[in-house]
Amino acid sequence: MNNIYTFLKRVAAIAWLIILAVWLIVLFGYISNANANPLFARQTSLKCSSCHTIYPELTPFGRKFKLGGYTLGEREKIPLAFMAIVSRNSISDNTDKSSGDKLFAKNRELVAEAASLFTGGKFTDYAGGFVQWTYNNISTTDNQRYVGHGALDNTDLRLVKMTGSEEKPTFFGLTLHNNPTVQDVWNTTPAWSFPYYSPTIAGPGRGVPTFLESGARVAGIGAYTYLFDSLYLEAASYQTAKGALSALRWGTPDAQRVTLSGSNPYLRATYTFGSDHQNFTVGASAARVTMAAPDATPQGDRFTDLGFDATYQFFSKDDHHIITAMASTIHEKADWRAGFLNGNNDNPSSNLRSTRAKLSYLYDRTYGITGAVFKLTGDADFARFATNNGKPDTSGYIVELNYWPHYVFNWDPQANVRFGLQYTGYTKFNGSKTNYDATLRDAKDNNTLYLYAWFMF
Amino acid sequence: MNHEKNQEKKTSRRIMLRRSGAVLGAVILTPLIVHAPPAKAGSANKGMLHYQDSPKDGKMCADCAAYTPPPSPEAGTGTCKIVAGPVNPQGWCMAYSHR
Repeated sequence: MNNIYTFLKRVAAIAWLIILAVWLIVLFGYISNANANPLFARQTSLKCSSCHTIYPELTPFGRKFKLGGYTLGEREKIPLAFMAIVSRNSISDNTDKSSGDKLFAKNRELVAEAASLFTGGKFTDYAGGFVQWTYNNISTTDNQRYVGHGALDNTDLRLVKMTGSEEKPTFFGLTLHNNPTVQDVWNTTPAWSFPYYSPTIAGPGRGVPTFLESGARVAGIGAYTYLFDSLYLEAASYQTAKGALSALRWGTPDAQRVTLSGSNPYLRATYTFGSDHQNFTVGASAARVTMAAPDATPQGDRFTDLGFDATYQFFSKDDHHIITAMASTIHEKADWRAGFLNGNNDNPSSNLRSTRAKLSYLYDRTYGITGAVFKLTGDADFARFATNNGKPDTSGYIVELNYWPHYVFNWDPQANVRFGLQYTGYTKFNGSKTNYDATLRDAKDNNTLYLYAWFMF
Repeated sequence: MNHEKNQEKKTSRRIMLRRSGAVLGAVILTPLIVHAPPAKAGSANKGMLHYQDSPKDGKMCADCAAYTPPPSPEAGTGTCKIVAGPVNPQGWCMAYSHR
Protein backbone atom coordinates (compact mmCIF):
# COMPACT_ATOMS: atom_id res chain seq x y z
CA MET A 1 0.00 0.00 0.00
CA ASN A 2 2.83 2.27 0.93
CA ASN A 3 4.56 1.49 -2.35
CA ILE A 4 1.47 2.42 -4.33
CA TYR A 5 1.24 5.67 -2.44
CA THR A 6 4.90 6.48 -3.16
CA PHE A 7 4.44 5.52 -6.79
CA LEU A 8 1.36 7.75 -7.13
CA LYS A 9 3.23 10.61 -5.50
CA ARG A 10 6.06 10.23 -8.00
CA VAL A 11 3.62 10.13 -10.89
CA ALA A 12 1.93 13.24 -9.55
CA ALA A 13 5.27 15.04 -9.23
CA ILE A 14 6.26 14.15 -12.78
CA ALA A 15 2.81 15.15 -14.04
CA TRP A 16 3.20 18.50 -12.33
CA LEU A 17 6.53 19.07 -13.99
CA ILE A 18 5.08 18.21 -17.41
CA ILE A 19 2.11 20.51 -16.84
CA LEU A 20 4.49 23.25 -15.74
CA ALA A 21 6.68 22.81 -18.81
CA VAL A 22 3.71 22.79 -21.20
CA TRP A 23 2.25 25.83 -19.46
CA LEU A 24 5.52 27.69 -19.89
CA ILE A 25 5.91 26.78 -23.53
CA VAL A 26 2.33 27.80 -24.34
CA LEU A 27 2.46 30.98 -22.33
CA PHE A 28 5.89 32.18 -23.29
CA GLY A 29 5.46 31.50 -27.00
CA TYR A 30 8.30 30.69 -29.29
CA ILE A 31 9.82 34.07 -29.93
CA SER A 32 13.58 33.78 -29.74
CA ASN A 33 14.66 36.86 -27.84
CA ALA A 34 15.06 36.30 -24.13
CA ASN A 35 15.54 39.38 -22.06
CA ALA A 36 16.23 38.16 -18.59
CA ASN A 37 17.60 39.70 -15.43
CA PRO A 38 14.40 41.58 -15.16
CA LEU A 39 14.99 44.79 -13.27
CA PHE A 40 18.40 45.49 -14.77
CA ALA A 41 17.32 44.21 -18.19
CA ARG A 42 14.40 46.65 -18.20
CA GLN A 43 16.69 49.45 -17.09
CA THR A 44 19.30 48.83 -19.79
CA SER A 45 17.08 47.35 -22.55
CA LEU A 46 19.66 44.55 -22.76
CA LYS A 47 19.04 40.84 -22.61
CA CYS A 48 20.02 39.10 -19.40
CA SER A 49 22.65 37.19 -21.36
CA SER A 50 24.49 40.47 -21.83
CA CYS A 51 25.39 40.41 -18.12
CA HIS A 52 25.14 36.69 -17.35
CA THR A 53 26.49 33.44 -18.71
CA ILE A 54 24.43 31.18 -16.44
CA TYR A 55 22.83 33.56 -13.97
CA PRO A 56 23.95 34.74 -11.47
CA GLU A 57 27.41 34.23 -13.05
CA LEU A 58 28.57 37.47 -14.66
CA THR A 59 30.03 38.20 -18.08
CA PRO A 60 32.77 40.84 -18.38
CA PHE A 61 30.08 43.44 -19.06
CA GLY A 62 27.99 42.17 -16.12
CA ARG A 63 30.97 42.66 -13.83
CA LYS A 64 31.28 46.26 -14.99
CA PHE A 65 27.57 46.90 -14.65
CA LYS A 66 27.85 45.88 -11.00
CA LEU A 67 31.13 47.73 -10.39
CA GLY A 68 29.39 50.73 -11.94
CA GLY A 69 26.88 50.57 -9.10
CA TYR A 70 23.96 49.23 -11.19
CA THR A 71 23.64 52.75 -12.62
CA LEU A 72 23.91 52.09 -16.36
CA GLY A 73 20.71 52.61 -18.30
CA GLU A 74 17.59 54.60 -17.55
CA ARG A 75 15.98 54.62 -14.15
CA GLU A 76 12.85 52.51 -13.95
CA LYS A 77 9.68 54.23 -12.72
CA ILE A 78 8.74 51.20 -10.66
CA PRO A 79 11.97 49.32 -10.04
CA LEU A 80 10.68 45.87 -9.17
CA ALA A 81 11.40 42.33 -10.26
CA PHE A 82 10.43 38.90 -8.98
CA MET A 83 11.95 35.49 -8.67
CA ALA A 84 10.43 32.14 -7.79
CA ILE A 85 11.96 28.71 -7.43
CA VAL A 86 10.13 25.43 -7.71
CA SER A 87 12.18 22.33 -7.00
CA ARG A 88 12.33 18.68 -6.15
CA ASN A 89 15.21 17.07 -4.32
CA SER A 90 15.95 13.44 -3.79
CA ILE A 91 18.52 12.25 -1.30
CA SER A 92 19.96 8.80 -1.84
CA ASP A 93 19.10 7.44 1.60
CA ASN A 94 16.49 9.25 3.66
CA THR A 95 16.57 7.00 6.72
CA ASP A 96 18.34 7.23 10.02
CA LYS A 97 19.98 3.80 9.95
CA SER A 98 20.13 3.53 13.72
CA SER A 99 16.43 4.15 14.32
CA GLY A 100 14.82 3.62 10.91
CA ASP A 101 13.21 7.06 11.13
CA LYS A 102 12.79 9.28 8.13
CA LEU A 103 15.42 12.05 8.16
CA PHE A 104 13.78 14.62 5.91
CA ALA A 105 10.14 15.30 5.23
CA LYS A 106 9.29 16.43 1.69
CA ASN A 107 12.15 14.47 0.17
CA ARG A 108 11.17 13.62 -3.42
CA GLU A 109 8.30 16.09 -3.36
CA LEU A 110 7.82 19.01 -5.68
CA VAL A 111 7.91 22.17 -3.56
CA ALA A 112 7.51 25.88 -4.12
CA GLU A 113 10.82 26.65 -2.48
CA ALA A 114 11.29 30.41 -2.37
CA ALA A 115 10.14 33.65 -3.88
CA SER A 116 12.04 36.93 -4.02
CA LEU A 117 11.19 40.52 -4.65
CA PHE A 118 13.95 42.71 -6.08
CA THR A 119 14.22 46.45 -6.07
CA GLY A 120 17.00 48.96 -6.51
CA GLY A 121 18.67 49.42 -9.88
CA LYS A 122 19.63 52.90 -10.87
CA PHE A 123 18.84 55.69 -8.39
CA THR A 124 20.94 58.43 -10.01
CA ASP A 125 23.92 58.42 -12.36
CA TYR A 126 26.08 57.86 -9.27
CA ALA A 127 23.96 55.69 -7.01
CA GLY A 128 22.33 52.33 -7.43
CA GLY A 129 21.49 49.16 -5.62
CA PHE A 130 20.57 45.52 -5.56
CA VAL A 131 17.97 44.77 -2.90
CA GLN A 132 16.46 41.31 -2.52
CA TRP A 133 13.77 40.25 -0.10
CA THR A 134 13.14 36.54 0.01
CA TYR A 135 10.24 34.50 1.28
CA ASN A 136 11.63 31.07 2.07
CA ASN A 137 8.69 28.70 2.00
CA ILE A 138 10.56 25.76 3.49
CA SER A 139 12.30 27.20 6.50
CA THR A 140 12.90 24.46 9.06
CA THR A 141 14.73 23.68 12.26
CA ASP A 142 14.11 19.92 12.46
CA ASN A 143 13.82 18.87 8.78
CA GLN A 144 10.34 17.54 9.51
CA ARG A 145 8.12 20.61 9.66
CA TYR A 146 8.53 23.43 7.19
CA VAL A 147 7.24 26.94 7.59
CA GLY A 148 7.36 30.10 5.53
CA HIS A 149 9.64 32.92 6.55
CA GLY A 150 10.48 36.24 4.91
CA ALA A 151 13.68 38.23 5.38
CA LEU A 152 15.90 40.72 3.65
CA ASP A 153 18.26 38.75 1.44
CA ASN A 154 21.28 39.88 -0.60
CA THR A 155 21.55 43.64 -0.49
CA ASP A 156 24.20 45.91 -1.96
CA LEU A 157 23.85 49.68 -2.20
CA ARG A 158 26.51 51.65 -4.04
CA LEU A 159 27.84 55.10 -4.78
CA VAL A 160 30.11 55.18 -7.79
CA LYS A 161 32.21 57.61 -9.78
CA MET A 162 33.67 56.77 -13.16
CA THR A 163 36.81 58.68 -14.09
CA GLY A 164 39.88 58.46 -16.25
CA SER A 165 40.58 58.75 -19.93
CA GLU A 166 39.08 56.41 -22.49
CA GLU A 167 42.34 54.48 -22.47
CA LYS A 168 42.60 54.26 -18.68
CA PRO A 169 39.04 54.18 -17.35
CA THR A 170 38.60 53.74 -13.61
CA PHE A 171 35.76 53.20 -11.15
CA PHE A 172 35.74 54.44 -7.60
CA GLY A 173 32.94 53.21 -5.40
CA LEU A 174 31.44 52.72 -1.96
CA THR A 175 29.30 49.75 -1.02
CA LEU A 176 26.94 49.06 1.86
CA HIS A 177 25.94 45.40 1.91
CA ASN A 178 24.69 42.69 4.25
CA ASN A 179 26.66 39.54 3.52
CA PRO A 180 30.43 39.10 3.10
CA THR A 181 31.44 38.92 -0.59
CA VAL A 182 27.95 39.71 -1.89
CA GLN A 183 29.65 42.80 -3.38
CA ASP A 184 32.15 40.72 -5.35
CA VAL A 185 31.85 40.37 -9.15
CA TRP A 186 34.05 37.37 -10.04
CA ASN A 187 31.83 34.44 -8.93
CA THR A 188 34.72 32.85 -7.06
CA THR A 189 33.98 34.27 -3.62
CA PRO A 190 31.32 32.47 -1.60
CA ALA A 191 28.21 34.65 -1.93
CA TRP A 192 27.88 34.15 -5.70
CA SER A 193 29.95 31.06 -6.43
CA PHE A 194 28.94 27.70 -7.90
CA PRO A 195 26.62 25.92 -7.17
CA TYR A 196 24.35 28.87 -7.83
CA TYR A 197 21.40 27.04 -6.33
CA SER A 198 21.50 23.90 -4.27
CA PRO A 199 18.94 21.83 -2.41
CA THR A 200 17.33 23.19 0.76
CA ILE A 201 15.17 20.19 1.60
CA ALA A 202 17.35 17.17 2.34
CA GLY A 203 20.35 19.22 1.30
CA PRO A 204 23.41 17.86 3.12
CA GLY A 205 25.49 20.92 2.19
CA ARG A 206 29.21 20.97 1.67
CA GLY A 207 30.47 20.87 5.24
CA VAL A 208 30.98 23.51 7.89
CA PRO A 209 31.61 26.91 6.31
CA THR A 210 34.49 29.26 6.90
CA PHE A 211 33.42 32.71 8.01
CA LEU A 212 33.50 34.06 4.46
CA GLU A 213 31.31 31.16 3.33
CA SER A 214 28.86 31.41 6.21
CA GLY A 215 26.53 33.95 4.62
CA ALA A 216 26.55 35.81 7.92
CA ARG A 217 23.93 38.55 7.96
CA VAL A 218 26.18 41.43 8.98
CA ALA A 219 26.70 45.03 7.90
CA GLY A 220 29.50 45.58 5.42
CA ILE A 221 30.84 48.96 4.46
CA GLY A 222 33.48 48.99 1.77
CA ALA A 223 35.39 51.19 -0.63
CA TYR A 224 36.72 49.90 -3.92
CA THR A 225 38.39 50.92 -7.11
CA TYR A 226 38.72 49.23 -10.47
CA LEU A 227 41.86 50.79 -11.88
CA PHE A 228 42.65 51.04 -15.57
CA ASP A 229 40.12 48.34 -16.47
CA SER A 230 42.24 45.64 -14.81
CA LEU A 231 43.12 45.97 -11.12
CA TYR A 232 40.40 45.71 -8.50
CA LEU A 233 41.16 46.74 -4.93
CA GLU A 234 38.70 46.73 -2.06
CA ALA A 235 38.79 47.36 1.66
CA ALA A 236 35.70 46.70 3.75
CA SER A 237 34.66 46.51 7.34
CA TYR A 238 32.14 44.06 8.78
CA GLN A 239 30.18 44.75 11.91
CA THR A 240 26.98 43.72 13.60
CA ALA A 241 23.93 44.95 11.70
CA LYS A 242 22.46 46.95 14.55
CA GLY A 243 21.21 50.47 15.18
CA ALA A 244 20.83 52.36 11.92
CA LEU A 245 22.15 49.32 10.04
CA SER A 246 19.70 46.86 11.60
CA ALA A 247 17.56 47.05 8.46
CA LEU A 248 20.28 45.05 6.73
CA ARG A 249 19.21 41.99 8.71
CA TRP A 250 15.52 42.71 8.60
CA GLY A 251 13.59 39.50 9.27
CA THR A 252 16.64 37.36 10.05
CA PRO A 253 15.59 35.05 12.90
CA ASP A 254 17.36 35.66 16.22
CA ALA A 255 19.06 32.28 16.11
CA GLN A 256 20.72 33.12 12.79
CA ARG A 257 21.92 36.55 13.80
CA VAL A 258 25.63 37.06 14.05
CA THR A 259 27.05 39.50 16.54
CA LEU A 260 30.59 40.63 15.85
CA SER A 261 32.97 42.48 18.08
CA GLY A 262 33.58 45.96 16.72
CA SER A 263 34.72 46.53 13.18
CA ASN A 264 36.40 43.69 11.29
CA PRO A 265 38.58 44.13 8.20
CA TYR A 266 38.19 42.52 4.79
CA LEU A 267 40.61 43.08 1.91
CA ARG A 268 40.29 42.00 -1.68
CA ALA A 269 42.44 42.36 -4.79
CA THR A 270 42.02 40.91 -8.27
CA TYR A 271 43.80 41.41 -11.55
CA THR A 272 41.98 40.80 -14.84
CA PHE A 273 43.60 40.54 -18.25
CA GLY A 274 42.72 39.27 -21.70
CA SER A 275 40.60 40.32 -24.66
CA ASP A 276 36.89 40.61 -25.42
CA HIS A 277 36.88 36.90 -26.29
CA GLN A 278 38.72 35.52 -23.31
CA ASN A 279 39.82 36.81 -19.97
CA PHE A 280 41.65 35.61 -16.90
CA THR A 281 41.37 36.83 -13.34
CA VAL A 282 43.58 36.06 -10.38
CA GLY A 283 42.64 37.28 -6.95
CA ALA A 284 43.12 37.12 -3.23
CA SER A 285 40.94 37.95 -0.24
CA ALA A 286 41.54 38.21 3.47
CA ALA A 287 39.35 38.77 6.50
CA ARG A 288 39.84 38.78 10.25
CA VAL A 289 36.63 38.64 12.20
CA THR A 290 36.05 38.50 15.93
CA MET A 291 32.76 37.31 17.34
CA ALA A 292 31.26 39.17 20.27
CA ALA A 293 32.45 37.69 23.55
CA PRO A 294 29.91 35.42 25.23
CA ASP A 295 28.99 36.16 28.85
CA ALA A 296 31.83 35.72 31.35
CA THR A 297 34.44 35.37 28.61
CA PRO A 298 36.88 38.20 28.00
CA GLN A 299 37.21 37.67 24.26
CA GLY A 300 35.19 36.17 21.43
CA ASP A 301 36.39 33.58 18.93
CA ARG A 302 38.43 34.97 16.08
CA PHE A 303 38.51 33.77 12.48
CA THR A 304 41.28 34.67 10.05
CA ASP A 305 40.42 33.79 6.46
CA LEU A 306 42.79 33.95 3.54
CA GLY A 307 41.53 33.13 0.06
CA PHE A 308 42.93 32.78 -3.43
CA ASP A 309 40.93 32.48 -6.62
CA ALA A 310 41.22 32.39 -10.38
CA THR A 311 38.76 32.57 -13.27
CA TYR A 312 38.82 32.03 -17.01
CA GLN A 313 36.10 32.95 -19.51
CA PHE A 314 35.93 32.20 -23.22
CA PHE A 315 33.34 33.63 -25.63
CA SER A 316 33.50 32.36 -29.21
CA LYS A 317 33.35 34.89 -32.05
CA ASP A 318 30.18 33.36 -33.48
CA ASP A 319 28.55 33.64 -30.03
CA HIS A 320 27.60 29.95 -29.89
CA HIS A 321 30.10 28.77 -27.30
CA ILE A 322 30.91 30.00 -23.82
CA ILE A 323 33.34 28.31 -21.45
CA THR A 324 33.91 29.49 -17.91
CA ALA A 325 36.22 28.05 -15.28
CA MET A 326 36.57 29.08 -11.67
CA ALA A 327 38.69 27.87 -8.78
CA SER A 328 39.02 29.13 -5.25
CA THR A 329 40.39 28.16 -1.92
CA ILE A 330 39.90 29.65 1.54
CA HIS A 331 42.09 28.81 4.50
CA GLU A 332 40.69 29.67 7.91
CA LYS A 333 42.55 29.79 11.18
CA ALA A 334 40.17 29.91 14.09
CA ASP A 335 41.31 31.10 17.50
CA TRP A 336 38.87 29.64 20.01
CA ARG A 337 39.41 32.33 22.60
CA ALA A 338 35.96 31.70 24.04
CA GLY A 339 35.24 28.23 22.67
CA PHE A 340 38.31 26.60 24.21
CA LEU A 341 37.58 28.12 27.63
CA ASN A 342 33.94 27.08 27.43
CA GLY A 343 34.69 23.55 26.29
CA ASN A 344 33.17 24.01 22.83
CA ASN A 345 36.52 23.28 21.19
CA ASP A 346 39.31 20.77 21.85
CA ASN A 347 42.18 23.15 21.18
CA PRO A 348 42.92 26.88 21.44
CA SER A 349 43.08 27.10 17.65
CA SER A 350 42.29 25.04 14.57
CA ASN A 351 42.43 25.20 10.77
CA LEU A 352 39.89 24.71 8.03
CA ARG A 353 40.46 24.73 4.27
CA SER A 354 37.72 24.89 1.67
CA THR A 355 38.54 24.44 -2.00
CA ARG A 356 36.21 24.52 -4.98
CA ALA A 357 36.58 24.39 -8.74
CA LYS A 358 34.13 24.28 -11.62
CA LEU A 359 34.08 24.20 -15.39
CA SER A 360 31.02 25.18 -17.44
CA TYR A 361 30.16 24.98 -21.09
CA LEU A 362 27.20 26.89 -22.47
CA TYR A 363 25.87 26.40 -25.99
CA ASP A 364 23.87 29.19 -27.64
CA ARG A 365 23.35 30.66 -24.15
CA THR A 366 20.65 27.99 -23.78
CA TYR A 367 22.13 24.59 -22.96
CA GLY A 368 24.66 24.36 -20.18
CA ILE A 369 26.71 21.70 -18.47
CA THR A 370 28.88 22.23 -15.41
CA GLY A 371 31.23 19.91 -13.60
CA ALA A 372 32.49 20.90 -10.17
CA VAL A 373 34.47 19.53 -7.26
CA PHE A 374 34.57 20.64 -3.64
CA LYS A 375 36.77 19.67 -0.75
CA LEU A 376 36.71 20.74 2.87
CA THR A 377 39.43 19.60 5.25
CA GLY A 378 40.16 20.60 8.81
CA ASP A 379 41.76 19.72 12.10
CA ALA A 380 39.97 17.25 14.33
CA ASP A 381 37.82 18.89 17.00
CA PHE A 382 35.49 16.41 18.68
CA ALA A 383 33.77 19.10 20.71
CA ARG A 384 32.97 21.14 17.60
CA PHE A 385 32.17 18.44 15.04
CA ALA A 386 30.03 15.55 16.16
CA THR A 387 31.77 13.13 13.81
CA ASN A 388 33.38 9.73 14.30
CA ASN A 389 36.95 10.93 13.85
CA GLY A 390 36.39 14.50 14.97
CA LYS A 391 37.12 15.86 11.52
CA PRO A 392 34.85 17.98 9.34
CA ASP A 393 36.28 16.67 6.04
CA THR A 394 33.65 16.71 3.31
CA SER A 395 34.34 16.33 -0.38
CA GLY A 396 32.57 15.46 -3.56
CA TYR A 397 31.54 16.53 -7.01
CA ILE A 398 28.60 18.20 -8.75
CA VAL A 399 27.32 17.76 -12.27
CA GLU A 400 24.65 20.17 -13.39
CA LEU A 401 22.70 20.39 -16.63
CA ASN A 402 20.93 23.64 -17.48
CA TYR A 403 18.29 24.59 -19.98
CA TRP A 404 17.57 28.25 -20.41
CA PRO A 405 14.92 28.52 -23.12
CA HIS A 406 14.63 31.76 -25.08
CA TYR A 407 10.93 32.30 -24.78
CA VAL A 408 9.37 35.72 -24.57
CA PHE A 409 6.25 36.14 -22.54
CA ASN A 410 3.91 38.47 -24.47
CA TRP A 411 3.16 40.93 -21.69
CA ASP A 412 6.57 40.76 -20.03
CA PRO A 413 9.54 40.34 -22.36
CA GLN A 414 11.90 40.13 -19.39
CA ALA A 415 10.28 37.03 -17.94
CA ASN A 416 12.42 33.97 -18.21
CA VAL A 417 13.04 30.62 -16.65
CA ARG A 418 16.01 28.35 -16.26
CA PHE A 419 15.82 24.65 -15.52
CA GLY A 420 18.56 22.83 -13.69
CA LEU A 421 19.21 19.18 -12.99
CA GLN A 422 21.99 18.86 -10.43
CA TYR A 423 23.65 15.73 -9.11
CA THR A 424 25.86 15.99 -6.04
CA GLY A 425 28.02 13.01 -5.13
CA TYR A 426 29.93 12.74 -1.86
CA THR A 427 33.22 10.92 -1.53
CA LYS A 428 33.63 11.97 2.08
CA PHE A 429 31.14 13.44 4.54
CA ASN A 430 31.77 14.72 8.07
CA GLY A 431 35.21 13.20 8.20
CA SER A 432 34.76 9.76 6.64
CA LYS A 433 33.71 7.82 3.59
CA THR A 434 31.79 5.24 5.61
CA ASN A 435 29.96 5.22 8.93
CA TYR A 436 30.82 8.85 9.62
CA ASP A 437 28.45 9.41 12.54
CA ALA A 438 28.24 5.95 14.15
CA THR A 439 24.80 5.31 12.64
CA LEU A 440 26.30 3.33 9.75
CA ARG A 441 25.55 6.21 7.42
CA ASP A 442 27.99 6.50 4.51
CA ALA A 443 29.02 9.61 2.59
CA LYS A 444 27.30 8.37 -0.55
CA ASP A 445 23.96 8.09 1.29
CA ASN A 446 23.91 11.88 1.05
CA ASN A 447 24.12 12.01 -2.74
CA THR A 448 21.33 14.16 -4.10
CA LEU A 449 19.54 14.61 -7.40
CA TYR A 450 18.02 18.05 -7.51
CA LEU A 451 15.68 19.43 -10.15
CA TYR A 452 14.71 23.08 -10.15
CA ALA A 453 12.96 25.71 -12.22
CA TRP A 454 14.17 29.24 -11.58
CA PHE A 455 11.71 31.90 -12.72
CA MET A 456 12.60 35.56 -13.13
CA PHE A 457 10.07 38.20 -14.11
CA MET B 1 26.77 27.58 10.44
CA ASN B 2 28.81 26.27 13.29
CA HIS B 3 30.17 29.60 14.32
CA GLU B 4 29.22 30.81 17.68
CA LYS B 5 26.22 33.00 17.23
CA ASN B 6 25.40 35.24 20.06
CA GLN B 7 21.95 36.56 20.44
CA GLU B 8 21.84 40.24 20.86
CA LYS B 9 19.69 42.11 23.28
CA LYS B 10 16.27 42.15 21.67
CA THR B 11 14.84 45.30 20.21
CA SER B 12 11.10 45.00 20.18
CA ARG B 13 9.91 43.33 17.02
CA ARG B 14 7.47 46.13 16.33
CA ILE B 15 10.16 48.79 16.51
CA MET B 16 12.46 46.74 14.35
CA LEU B 17 9.78 46.08 11.75
CA ARG B 18 8.81 49.72 11.70
CA ARG B 19 12.40 50.84 11.40
CA SER B 20 13.32 48.38 8.70
CA GLY B 21 10.07 49.02 6.87
CA ALA B 22 10.98 52.69 6.79
CA VAL B 23 14.44 51.93 5.42
CA LEU B 24 13.13 49.56 2.79
CA GLY B 25 10.43 52.03 1.87
CA ALA B 26 13.09 54.68 1.54
CA VAL B 27 15.12 52.42 -0.74
CA ILE B 28 12.12 51.82 -2.96
CA LEU B 29 10.97 55.42 -2.96
CA THR B 30 14.40 57.03 -3.40
CA PRO B 31 14.39 56.66 -7.17
CA LEU B 32 10.90 58.13 -7.37
CA ILE B 33 11.79 61.16 -5.28
CA VAL B 34 15.40 61.96 -6.12
CA HIS B 35 15.47 64.08 -9.22
CA ALA B 36 17.90 62.98 -11.89
CA PRO B 37 18.12 64.63 -15.30
CA PRO B 38 16.18 62.68 -17.93
CA ALA B 39 18.98 60.42 -19.03
CA LYS B 40 18.58 60.08 -22.77
CA ALA B 41 22.18 59.02 -23.23
CA GLY B 42 24.08 56.50 -21.17
CA SER B 43 26.74 57.31 -18.63
CA ALA B 44 29.42 54.68 -19.21
CA ASN B 45 32.91 55.62 -20.21
CA LYS B 46 33.45 54.39 -23.79
CA GLY B 47 36.86 52.99 -22.91
CA MET B 48 35.50 50.99 -19.97
CA LEU B 49 33.11 49.17 -22.30
CA HIS B 50 35.71 48.81 -25.10
CA TYR B 51 33.60 50.91 -27.48
CA GLN B 52 34.90 51.12 -31.04
CA ASP B 53 33.55 52.97 -34.09
CA SER B 54 33.53 49.86 -36.24
CA PRO B 55 31.57 46.58 -36.02
CA LYS B 56 33.01 43.54 -34.27
CA ASP B 57 32.44 40.03 -35.62
CA GLY B 58 29.46 41.35 -37.61
CA LYS B 59 27.85 42.95 -34.54
CA MET B 60 27.09 46.67 -34.53
CA CYS B 61 25.22 49.23 -32.48
CA ALA B 62 22.48 49.60 -35.11
CA ASP B 63 21.36 46.05 -34.21
CA CYS B 64 21.71 46.51 -30.44
CA ALA B 65 18.77 46.76 -28.04
CA ALA B 66 20.29 49.73 -26.18
CA TYR B 67 20.86 51.87 -29.29
CA THR B 68 18.61 54.80 -30.26
CA PRO B 69 19.02 55.95 -33.86
CA PRO B 70 19.33 59.70 -34.59
CA PRO B 71 16.05 61.58 -35.17
CA SER B 72 17.01 62.24 -38.80
CA PRO B 73 19.12 59.78 -40.79
CA GLU B 74 21.52 62.59 -41.87
CA ALA B 75 22.65 63.14 -38.27
CA GLY B 76 24.89 60.08 -38.51
CA THR B 77 25.35 59.19 -34.88
CA GLY B 78 22.74 58.04 -32.43
CA THR B 79 22.70 57.60 -28.68
CA CYS B 80 22.85 54.64 -26.33
CA LYS B 81 21.23 53.82 -23.01
CA ILE B 82 24.56 52.55 -21.73
CA VAL B 83 27.47 54.36 -23.38
CA ALA B 84 27.95 58.10 -22.98
CA GLY B 85 28.20 60.47 -25.93
CA PRO B 86 27.40 60.09 -29.63
CA VAL B 87 27.34 56.50 -30.82
CA ASN B 88 28.08 55.33 -34.33
CA PRO B 89 25.45 52.91 -35.71
CA GLN B 90 28.41 50.94 -37.11
CA GLY B 91 30.06 50.90 -33.67
CA TRP B 92 30.30 48.15 -31.08
CA CYS B 93 30.87 47.76 -27.33
CA MET B 94 31.01 44.87 -24.87
CA ALA B 95 27.41 45.44 -23.70
CA TYR B 96 26.16 44.48 -27.19
CA SER B 97 22.82 42.72 -27.05
CA HIS B 98 20.96 41.88 -30.25
CA ARG B 99 17.58 43.63 -30.27
